[in-house]
Amino acid sequence: MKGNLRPVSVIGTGMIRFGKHRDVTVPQLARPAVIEALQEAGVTNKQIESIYSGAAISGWMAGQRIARETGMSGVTVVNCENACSSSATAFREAWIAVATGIIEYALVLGVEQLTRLGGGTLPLDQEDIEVANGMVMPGLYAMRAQRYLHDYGATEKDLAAVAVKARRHGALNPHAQIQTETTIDEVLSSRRIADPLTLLQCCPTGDGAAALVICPSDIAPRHNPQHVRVLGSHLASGRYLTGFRDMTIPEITVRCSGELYEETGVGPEDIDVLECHDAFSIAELLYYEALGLCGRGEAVKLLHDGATSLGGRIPVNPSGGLLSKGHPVGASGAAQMVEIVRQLQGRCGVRQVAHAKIGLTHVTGGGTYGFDHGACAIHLFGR
Amino acid sequence: MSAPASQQAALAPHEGRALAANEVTVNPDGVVRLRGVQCNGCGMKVFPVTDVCPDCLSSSLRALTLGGEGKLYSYTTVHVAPPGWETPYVVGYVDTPEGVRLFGKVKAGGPHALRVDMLVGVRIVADGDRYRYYFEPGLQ
Repeated sequence: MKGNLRPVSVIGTGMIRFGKHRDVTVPQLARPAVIEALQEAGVTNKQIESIYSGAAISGWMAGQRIARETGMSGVTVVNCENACSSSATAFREAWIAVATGIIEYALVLGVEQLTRLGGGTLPLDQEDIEVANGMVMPGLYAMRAQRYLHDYGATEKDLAAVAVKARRHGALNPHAQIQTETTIDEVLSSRRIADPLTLLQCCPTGDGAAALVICPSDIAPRHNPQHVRVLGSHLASGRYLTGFRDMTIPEITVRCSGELYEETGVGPEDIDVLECHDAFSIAELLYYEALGLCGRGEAVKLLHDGATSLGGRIPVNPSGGLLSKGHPVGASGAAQMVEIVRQLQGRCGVRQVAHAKIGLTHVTGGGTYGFDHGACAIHLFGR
Repeated sequence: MSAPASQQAALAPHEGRALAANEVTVNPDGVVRLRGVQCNGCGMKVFPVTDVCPDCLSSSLRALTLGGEGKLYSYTTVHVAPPGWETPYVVGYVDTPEGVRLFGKVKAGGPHALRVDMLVGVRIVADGDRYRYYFEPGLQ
């Protein structure tokens, strides 16, 4: 870490089961996660000095609306919109505020109610020149998949195997939207969304909320003896390119993780467990390579070897990931952090990664032309 | 080669982004080409046309007229799209020899006729006082 930053720890986590929660308001969606995080942290709502809230499509001032119903109105609120990286961005802002000594106790929120959109693909901005020509998010990932299959000889069955692994993990997670296993055949025979991606290779539409309480590490033990340190935080934005781009290399993730590894001295070989942005099956394979878990073109082998499954060398998305746990856009970054913190605390029961000491969370956010993705946030945590 | 724009029928609303007159070059023989800009300051190439370089902020830009072809970098058949889009449709990225990557609809007999890295033509059709473009395998 750069400069005189004091160490920061997560002392409380909370989240609700992801799924279709149509009959509640956004604050009602978030409230149980907030209360759980506060109780776990051993701090009262009145001790929170700032709220950092991440949401993408759930309306103006989500943070204030939630504060209104959780006894925190009047507290400074920062609302963060960074597409799928919204609540990871919120976490980073909270971390900066605590690490620089501006505040002691911050609440980080991630919340989203996608069911208010009525399903289907995410609404993208009509002023975008690619959207106006028919771009949809599954289409973007599908083109990455198409090119990856061409360049590395991977198959549609290999892609489906990512979804099968995600669902195997998700079946062990009581917070996952989808808690049943699936098969290669079921994945491949599900509805076509954007070739070669089928429905079960796309994250489901759903609602969710997650929350974390952070404070300086020196006072963390008095709140939670199992506090988890923030080892590093990095946020990168997309680089605008108008010419050739290799879509099998998620440049923003390569850059963001490379800079974070450099800053922290932690490398991919040190990581025991990680949550990555598997919004679509192909994404997880690309991110194995981009995060440095394996070399270029080696992701399929890493998957089939079982290295990234529970029990493997480097379990990826033990929560079930976006594919199985669900992807309420603005909530995903915070929910990944809740999973990793709990993994490092040894609290994950049947999906616990043994002896996990260092964990990583990775989210991106896309949907605008000229970039690999618009945003990418990566965090490292350790016990 | 694109046919004279005036000979083409107008397209449905969701047949791709409508280009303004300054986003195309109409040759004396009626052939229409996509037009972007290249920055005289830093050399950045941009499509569609802009009046300020998005990188060095120079307003000294020259026209960059794109040829009628490119290589299909990747593509997909989209089966689920927002309301108004008739599915399935095919979209893809096309790399032009001028160094600009284009995104748009791809028309072909079916997705299986397409393959990565194949040569495609850039077709431009008039739609009222505007233009739309799409890609199609092979040259005209």
